[in-house]
Amino acid sequence: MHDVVYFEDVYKAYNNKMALRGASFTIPRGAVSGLLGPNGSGKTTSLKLALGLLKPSRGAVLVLGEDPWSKPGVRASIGYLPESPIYPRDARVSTLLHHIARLKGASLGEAGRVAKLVGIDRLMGYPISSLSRGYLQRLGLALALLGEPELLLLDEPTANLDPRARVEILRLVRDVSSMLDATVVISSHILPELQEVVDYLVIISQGEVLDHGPVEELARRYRARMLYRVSTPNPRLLARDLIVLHYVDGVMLGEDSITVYVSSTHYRAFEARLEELAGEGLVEEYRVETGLLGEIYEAAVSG
Amino acid sequence: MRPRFPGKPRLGGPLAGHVDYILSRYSKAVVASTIVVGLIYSTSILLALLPTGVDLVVWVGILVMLVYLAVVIELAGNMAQELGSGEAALYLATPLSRVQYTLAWIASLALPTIASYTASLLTPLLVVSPGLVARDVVWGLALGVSGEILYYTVIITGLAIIFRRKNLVSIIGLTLLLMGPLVAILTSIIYSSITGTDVNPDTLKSLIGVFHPIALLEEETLDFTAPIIYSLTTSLLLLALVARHAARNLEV
Repeated sequence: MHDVVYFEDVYKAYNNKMALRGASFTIPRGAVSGLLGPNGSGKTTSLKLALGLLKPSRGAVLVLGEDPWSKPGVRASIGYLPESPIYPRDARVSTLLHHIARLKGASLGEAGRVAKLVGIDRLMGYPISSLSRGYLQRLGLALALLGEPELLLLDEPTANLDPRARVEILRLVRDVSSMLDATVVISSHILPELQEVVDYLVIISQGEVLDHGPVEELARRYRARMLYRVSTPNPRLLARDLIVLHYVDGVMLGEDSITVYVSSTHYRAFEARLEELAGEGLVEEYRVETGLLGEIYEAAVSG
Repeated sequence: MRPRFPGKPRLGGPLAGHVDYILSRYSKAVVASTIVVGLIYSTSILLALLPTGVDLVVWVGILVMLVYLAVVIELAGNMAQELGSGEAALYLATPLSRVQYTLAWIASLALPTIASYTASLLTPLLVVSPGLVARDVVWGLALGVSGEILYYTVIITGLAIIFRRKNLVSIIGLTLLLMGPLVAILTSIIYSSITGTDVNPDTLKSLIGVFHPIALLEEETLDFTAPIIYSLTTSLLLLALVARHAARNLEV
């Protein structure tokens, strides 16, 4: 099976309240996936089910081909950052990091490397209670990265952080996910953050999965605008050429590229025009950056 | 390109690793509590109890056991707190299974307590009169108390999993420990007065034995066979039930 996460008709009830209702979706290997939905929509429940911390009331959950509830061994390949992690505040950073490394079958050397990667190596001897929110989140990320995870589940990784810490954590998530070559699932209700990192989307609302798929495909399906990144030797000249097209909504200039907002209904015409310009030497390469998540989400929710 | 980290040593597996971790976090409390009680018990064995014979060592040893059980109950509250707060998710997000997590707590609570009690009983005997250590009654006491510590540890761990609140678990545990025998006696008296029969000492003993298996000992001969068999078999049965409950229902 190529899908790293597989949910089929999954229900989950707590105290007679249904948190998930017949959720079915898949997340393919290598995707950086956004679990998108408002607070209370079932995102955290989905992540906990994928990790085997919760048992589905009905339906099937498979992660890396295994049922995580009955096969805890699969968790050696999963890294998890909870939304509000509760740490043993009396313990030292190194104690917790080394213990989780041991439980995941990772070496103490790896714990040290991961601590360095997320920037907490100087704090190894400190009690956890002395860490700021930003550093607590880095610690959570370090714990998630132990054991070379094939799948990273990040639940609201920037929640409760100040703007600077938020940017740093997002940059870390981007860097480590590309470095580890892991499949990443990020749960968030903050669209601009997801917009920057995801290429796959699971849209969830009131416990129901409304849609899922590559962002580009969803953007076309819901006629949301798409963002193209176009490399060019002459950004100004290219921008002037493209802005006049009636289906181009906007252009942002970069040093050696431009970002173009295009109506998804005209993406073929746009790409044909780019091919022509490539023939003239004005376009070096182009790629679809993403679709506008807000527009996709609104369209999916409104049916 | 995925970076490869060298080696993934097992270092004793998740269960042993988690026992080690729990002990390292709470060992100070266990050591401090049990050493104080153990020293008092050992000293009293040397100075006052042994000169009057082994019988008094046994009876005082049973009372001392209650203090050890109170320590176990207090420490089990930490497990309840860990489950209630969500800290347990940190550990259960790893290959540590729900059953291993539960067994790790049971081992961490029972083993050091049993070791401390046994050491505080045997050390003064070995120092003063090594021949006494070979007597059945001494080993009976050690095994009987060990069985009861295990019995309480399993029960209190089950309560921690169900209730997940430190104070509640402590209150229920201490109530079982101290009030259980009184409830058994009162129930027996009330039943006798309703039916107009005398209180049957064997029935009363069995009822108290539910709360304190050591009460099943043969008082005249100080034979601990019954409490040892009862506490160990019941502990194993309860252990199986608690492990099954954890495997099926321990969500965090």
